[in-house]
Amino acid sequence: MYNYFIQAYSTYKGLFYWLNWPGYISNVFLRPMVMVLTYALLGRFALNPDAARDYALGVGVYSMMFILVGAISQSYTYDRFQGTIAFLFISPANRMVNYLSRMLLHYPNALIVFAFGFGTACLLVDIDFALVNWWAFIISIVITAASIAAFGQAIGVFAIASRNWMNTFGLILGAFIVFTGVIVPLSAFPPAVREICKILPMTNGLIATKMAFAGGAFSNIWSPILREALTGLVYLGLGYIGFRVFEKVVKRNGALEEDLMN
Amino acid sequence: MNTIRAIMAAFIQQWKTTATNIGSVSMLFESVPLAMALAWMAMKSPTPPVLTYLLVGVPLMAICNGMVFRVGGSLNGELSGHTLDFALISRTPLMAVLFGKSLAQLIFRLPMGVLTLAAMFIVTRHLPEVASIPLLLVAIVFVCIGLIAISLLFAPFMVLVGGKAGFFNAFMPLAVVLSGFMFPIDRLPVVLEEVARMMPTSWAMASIWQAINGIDSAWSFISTLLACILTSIFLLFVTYFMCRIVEKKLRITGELATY
Repeated sequence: MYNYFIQAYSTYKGLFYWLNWPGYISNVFLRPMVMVLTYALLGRFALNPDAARDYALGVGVYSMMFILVGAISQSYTYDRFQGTIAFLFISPANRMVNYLSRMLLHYPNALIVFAFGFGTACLLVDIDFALVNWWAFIISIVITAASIAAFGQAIGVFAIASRNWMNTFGLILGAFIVFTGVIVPLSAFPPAVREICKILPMTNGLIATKMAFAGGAFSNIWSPILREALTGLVYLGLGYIGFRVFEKVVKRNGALEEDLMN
Repeated sequence: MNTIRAIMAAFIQQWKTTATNIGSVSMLFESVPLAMALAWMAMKSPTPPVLTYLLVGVPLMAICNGMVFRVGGSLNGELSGHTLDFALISRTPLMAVLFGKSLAQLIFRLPMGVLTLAAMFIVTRHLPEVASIPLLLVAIVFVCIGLIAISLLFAPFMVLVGGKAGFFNAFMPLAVVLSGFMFPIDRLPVVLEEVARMMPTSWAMASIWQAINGIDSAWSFISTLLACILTSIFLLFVTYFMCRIVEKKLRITGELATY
């Protein structure tokens, strides 16, 4: 367990480049506040107050995706770029422990991001809290953040293999704002596309969050929460397989330090 | 004349750097999914001018995001790449170099706006319904002037905060919302609305809103354009003084080569 925390701390401290005061304040506090406020006001401008609430929730959850996937995937890329991952590959360290340690300290940031984003919307945009099922709301946010972190791990492996986290991240950001129900409701898509949307992390969690906010009973909400948790576990597993395959391939080909242009 | 030559050289350098970078080229497509989602939202709006406003504002937002990020980071990039040394030992004003760079970024990103508009058109099947197209074009030129002024401001600002990674991530959406690209700034809370009035782009967007709905009087349109020019000049002065501070800081502390 001690090793787990040491690895969690060292990957967070050494490979998370936004961990400086200007960068951290900008990403964890200011950005979610600006984003949620923007979309809540846009919802009110373009549609109606109900849309403002939906967008505030959706963009609040989407902001967790921004900080988790951005932070985890950059730490994977920098691990290769800085040459530090080579030390892991020559050591007998438990790969599963190392893999799981990479998201631990990023996870609380996601919850802070949501709290600040949604808190801003509550203060500056009139949102009615009368019906909220608080326990279901909190559980759905906690599970959704975990699921997104697991997805970040899978994307991190993709980023380390491609040596570039920013392009991957940009692609993910674009796809998720369209297909997870943040702006466009799932009902607007054909049934087949809707099912594809539901295998993305965040989609089911957002459904649960919106239901809990509207006062839905826990008996109705547990199904999307469970599905979100399972989605996260699948991505976590896929990410681990990718992480091991990456190690095998770079060892076999001697490609770890190979320049991208070669 | 020498200044114009320096601006042209900075323009060409920035253009070549940007156009040969796969990251910059892929960034041209980055706003397309968001634009499509916003187009869907605009289409559902019961108020027709909202659709037109977003059809005009979202492409400008895409250009703004790219410009603030790239121009804002350009001075810091020169510093860490040790090419700023040559600008500082020459007589060329730093502002001229930055202006050339931002002009290149603006022109490089104009296709991004067209791509974004095309993506929105695919979703909405609507072209912007504008009361006066000539006035809209004039207003868009002023938005571009405002964009250059804003993006230039971020270049020395980034150096003064130490070029920290991730710093821009909050300022890009903030610049968009304060510019009124997504909705008119009178929808903002009072404090933010007052801050937005310092942005030249917010005045230019007000003139776009007038061009869309039809102007009440020529003076109201011209006054917003004048306000855009005045705020641009103000921001350029602020940028100039920030560049002076950057230069002094680098010379006095000797940080240039140890950065």
